[in-house]
Amino acid sequence: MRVHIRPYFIILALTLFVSSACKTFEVKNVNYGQQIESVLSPNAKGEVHDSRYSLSFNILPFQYQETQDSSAVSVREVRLIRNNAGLYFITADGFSNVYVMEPINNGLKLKKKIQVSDQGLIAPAFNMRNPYIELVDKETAQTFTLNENGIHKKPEVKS
Amino acid sequence: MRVSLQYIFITFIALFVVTSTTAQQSDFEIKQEFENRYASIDSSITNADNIRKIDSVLLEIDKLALDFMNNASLLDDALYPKSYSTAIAELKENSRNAEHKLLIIENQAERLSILSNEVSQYKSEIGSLVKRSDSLRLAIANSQDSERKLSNLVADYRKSVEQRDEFIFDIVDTLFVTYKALNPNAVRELARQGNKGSISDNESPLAVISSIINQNIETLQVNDESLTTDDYLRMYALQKKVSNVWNQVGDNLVNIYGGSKKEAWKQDITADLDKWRASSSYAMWTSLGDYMEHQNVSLAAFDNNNSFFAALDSFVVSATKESGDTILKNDSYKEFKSFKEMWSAKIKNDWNKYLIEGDVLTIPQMASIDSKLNDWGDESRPISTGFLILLGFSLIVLTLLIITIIWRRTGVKE
Repeated sequence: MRVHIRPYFIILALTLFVSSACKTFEVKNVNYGQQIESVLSPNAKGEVHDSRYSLSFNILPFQYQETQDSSAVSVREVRLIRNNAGLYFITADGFSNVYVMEPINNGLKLKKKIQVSDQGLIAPAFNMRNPYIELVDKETAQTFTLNENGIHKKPEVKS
Repeated sequence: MRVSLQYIFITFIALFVVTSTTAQQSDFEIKQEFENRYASIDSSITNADNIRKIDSVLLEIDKLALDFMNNASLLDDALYPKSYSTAIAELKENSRNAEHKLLIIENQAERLSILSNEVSQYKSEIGSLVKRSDSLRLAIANSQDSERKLSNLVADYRKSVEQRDEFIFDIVDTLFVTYKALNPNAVRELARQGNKGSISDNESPLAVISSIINQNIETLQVNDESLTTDDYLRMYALQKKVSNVWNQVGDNLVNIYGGSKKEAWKQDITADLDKWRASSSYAMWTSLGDYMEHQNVSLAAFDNNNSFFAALDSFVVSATKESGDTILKNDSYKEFKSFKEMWSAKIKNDWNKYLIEGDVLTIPQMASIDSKLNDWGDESRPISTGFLILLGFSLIVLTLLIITIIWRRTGVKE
């Protein structure tokens, strides 16, 4: 019995070629990091718009998470920064948490809720401190070093 | 060893304090602080009104650059599309431009101060010329002297008015050259200096212009028979010139010297200029009409540039046609010669400057009359005597020739 090797070999080569062509095109090592936070004021509907990075969303769902009330906008300024991995760190005055949000199709999905205060932050601000995000409460002089998994370092209080 | 340990400890504490101070500040605040100081310096540049202020602004820029040098990289991101270095460079460039402008303004202020002194001298000079003209006019009116003496007085008076007008032409030129070139910043700065009372109301260029206009209106209202068409043409041209200059530099003058009465100055001078235009225009066109009549040039009625040109044009065209229709052209040629002489010697020579300046006749209009005048000359030129002698001689020769031929034929037949 004679085995026909050549046709099998051709079919195998074609299959390999087609499968490699269909593989998803990807670029690695993209840095999404925002070097400076965006400070956004919500309108009456709770919408914020970052004109530099062209991002818009509504703060009321975050406010509801914090206060269980989204009937009126109580947030004065929304603080937002994006880390190198592309995750958004969002907080605001009066919030007790920092929300680490992952961009999804037409939305933001909670990846981690980091509690940073019991009473609520008074004057929060984010700084990019590669590869971490630094959270400063300018009023209490507390600083937190954060990443997407939570607080990297215990809060420090500077005098 | 103990000393060096102390140094290490102090350095450590100092580093800790510095680190803790910077750690409490948000990057966003650094950006805001930079932007606020940038805006404040930028506004200081805009509002700087002398070179010393710009010098202190330059020091502030250096301090800003130094204070934020350590945050340059952060600011490069935060100020996008600007950067730390372009922002500092922009401030420096703005201050250099402001310095350049202020230097020009300070030079202009100096020049204007000199000019104001000149204007003040002009004013007293005009005053004495006006006084002299007035006293001559009075002398003429009251004169019981001989005709020869009176004619000398009239000549002196006309000369005096002419000197005054020429003087005003010069002042107006100076005002125009000086104030036309001013940019809005210079006008603002000079207005600020004017408000400090550096120039008195009576000696400001506005007062000089106002007195020039009023003196001229007075001269025209006297309706003096001593003045001739030459004088009225000059006065009309002067009025046109002052009006043109006022239209171009009036706003600057009012802004600089008007003080709290800007609108009043503007309205008064504009109203006086209208009066002057009306009286000088009436006097000039009437006098020009009388002059033409006196020269036996019968023109259709005119009282402006277009009607005057149309009247001249129509006169020359119909005279040309009449000459073409006439066989014996002696009279027609005489009329042409007389008009041509007046046109060349008086209109194009003596009056040329004021005709053009006052827009009584434009250069193209004069060229058109010139060309039609040549046609008139050609049409009116009489046949020359030499040609007539030649024609007569030819006729005699022709007659003799005919007689000879007839005589010969008669002789042959016999």
